[in-house]
Amino acid sequence: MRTLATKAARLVVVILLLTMVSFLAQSLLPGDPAELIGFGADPEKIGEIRTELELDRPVPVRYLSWLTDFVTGDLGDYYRNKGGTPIEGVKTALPTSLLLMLYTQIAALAVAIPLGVLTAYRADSLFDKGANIAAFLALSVPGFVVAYLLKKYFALDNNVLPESGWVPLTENVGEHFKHAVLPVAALTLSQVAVYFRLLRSDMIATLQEDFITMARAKGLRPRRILFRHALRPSSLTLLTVAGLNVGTLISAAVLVEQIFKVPGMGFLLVEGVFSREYPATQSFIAIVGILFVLINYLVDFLYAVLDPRIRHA
Amino acid sequence: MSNATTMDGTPGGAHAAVQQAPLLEVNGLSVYFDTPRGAVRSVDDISFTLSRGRTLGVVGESGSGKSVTSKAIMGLLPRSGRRIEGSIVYDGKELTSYRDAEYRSLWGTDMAMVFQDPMTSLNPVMKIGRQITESLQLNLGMDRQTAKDSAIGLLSAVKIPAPEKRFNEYPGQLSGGMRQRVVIAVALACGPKLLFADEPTTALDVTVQAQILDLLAEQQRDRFMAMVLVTHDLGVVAGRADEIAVMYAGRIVERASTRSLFGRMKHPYTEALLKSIPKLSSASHTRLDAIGGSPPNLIDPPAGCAFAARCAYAQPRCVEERPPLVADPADPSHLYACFYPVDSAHAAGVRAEAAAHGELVNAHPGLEAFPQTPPPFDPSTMHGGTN
Repeated sequence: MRTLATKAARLVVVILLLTMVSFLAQSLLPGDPAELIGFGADPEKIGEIRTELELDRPVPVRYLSWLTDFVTGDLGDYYRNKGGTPIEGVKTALPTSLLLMLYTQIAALAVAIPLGVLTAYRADSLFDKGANIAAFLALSVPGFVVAYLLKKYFALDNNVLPESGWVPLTENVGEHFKHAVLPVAALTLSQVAVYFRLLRSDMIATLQEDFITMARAKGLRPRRILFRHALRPSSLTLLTVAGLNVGTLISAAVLVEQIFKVPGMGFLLVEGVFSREYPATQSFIAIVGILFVLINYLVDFLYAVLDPRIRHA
Repeated sequence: MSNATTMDGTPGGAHAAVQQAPLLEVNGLSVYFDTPRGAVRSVDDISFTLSRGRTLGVVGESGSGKSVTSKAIMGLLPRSGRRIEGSIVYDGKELTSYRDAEYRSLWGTDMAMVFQDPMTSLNPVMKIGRQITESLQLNLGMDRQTAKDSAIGLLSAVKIPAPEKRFNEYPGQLSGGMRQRVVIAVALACGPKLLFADEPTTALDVTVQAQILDLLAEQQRDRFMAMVLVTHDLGVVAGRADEIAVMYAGRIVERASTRSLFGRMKHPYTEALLKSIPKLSSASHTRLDAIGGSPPNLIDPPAGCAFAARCAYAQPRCVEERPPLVADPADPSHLYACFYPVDSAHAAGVRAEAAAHGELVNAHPGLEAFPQTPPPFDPSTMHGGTN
């Protein structure tokens, strides 16, 4: 229980530091929201806007004022009227991003785990070499290129899947998944390559272990040895990277979100940064950061589930 | 507790007289491994037979090929980069041509292995009980509950206290000795007829070594198994093996019944091994008669006796000609490969001289001129075999 409390305290510190640094970084960006809003207006008017938005106050003061709002559930307001508030944006964008992330992780792991296990078992075979070359290809082609290719082939040329847009799960399940396929596929490809390469190398090391020889000597079939004996002790690195990837998939899926017009957190973030919407952007960053930290906190627990040596240490 | 139930349900000793045909016949077995510097002959033309209820001790130092021999018979060597010659006949079946899928029908149920290091041979992320029950369920078709009951029976047969509790623990929660008991239980689970114990006590505390060896001997007797006990310690096999094969540089250099081996020791290497065991009766700070030098390179083995370079009794003939494995005229079951055995007049002379100078026999190899390191490269001596 005590370690749980210390861990939680550490989480709070991490999140505070994260918001501080991102607030500072944002205020260092060139460009003044007041000038953007009052574009073409005389300096006096722009000064008024600046005072109104409290932009003339020092950064630490603005940070504290944002923080007190944020912890009470107030994500702040947009400086300019956009036909919505930040909290409304988050309410639709967050579930979208989370689902996109979840589907991508599931799809990537579902492909990468059997692939990693099989290539490790048949290391240096033709199949292994082919899979490795494919992985390097997938890693070296940027995600947005893959996204455009997928969109062109499946949506524009053959009209099998919708070319863009997003349907919430609660609205229409079938349409929801139809719209999810292409963005998920575009995001999955490079993840598969990373995950499979990681698992493969850890599996190859595990397969050299004495307990694998012992499992063979017990008369177990290769499939059982691979999936019941070798996979679990080989999956810790994979788990770590999958956890760290959560952040990437929530916020950095920007390009894919743009291409398929998926209204996710990445979309909101980029919009906020470009129009210098400090408090709103700050709130988005904080939300993504909290998610990221929480999920990696969960990963720490999963280690213990996967490996009893950590549990009993 | 000590007379634990046997898993195959056969009371020990009942069929002592029934089966006399050997269970395992190894004939001219050689194992080569490909390396970038050429093929290594790890096991070189070895032969032996083993019947049920008997224990063969295989003794030798690191790299002598003793572990490779048992792994080769078990079919556990890696598939690529190794070549096996000769024949391995188990229960009438020729195993050298067996593929993994064919071997799988023997693994666990016919032959099993107790591995050297219990710290690494149990799956660290799997409960102990599951590691025993899985082979019971898969090989013997037991249901979950029967398998669990059998596993707990096995754990108590290998004298693990509170087996019901240990059943649900992970290997990391057990001591080395306890883990080796679990490894033995896993090996015994499906009632194998042939058990390989590959240095089963090397990784353990001295205090538990004897317990584990006694446990193995007891189980071997109770289950009427054939057992191959691999070790580097002659003391380990002395009281526990029926027959002993001493291996050096991939070859069997002496093979005899335990009684005959210790009674009429023939090979200088066997003698040297025995001398290198510290004796309780010696005064403290007595210098141990260790074997000088190191085993030869097996990529390009010497033409003569592989032990000649380290042998106190070696003569020029030993370097030129390889001594064949011959039977002792006095005891045809006692085989040795030496021109000047320990009980020869020549050897006695060497010992007498060493004693006169107050020296240890093995400290100074007999042939001073004999290079311990390979001679400088000479193209005229190159032959096709090495690449």
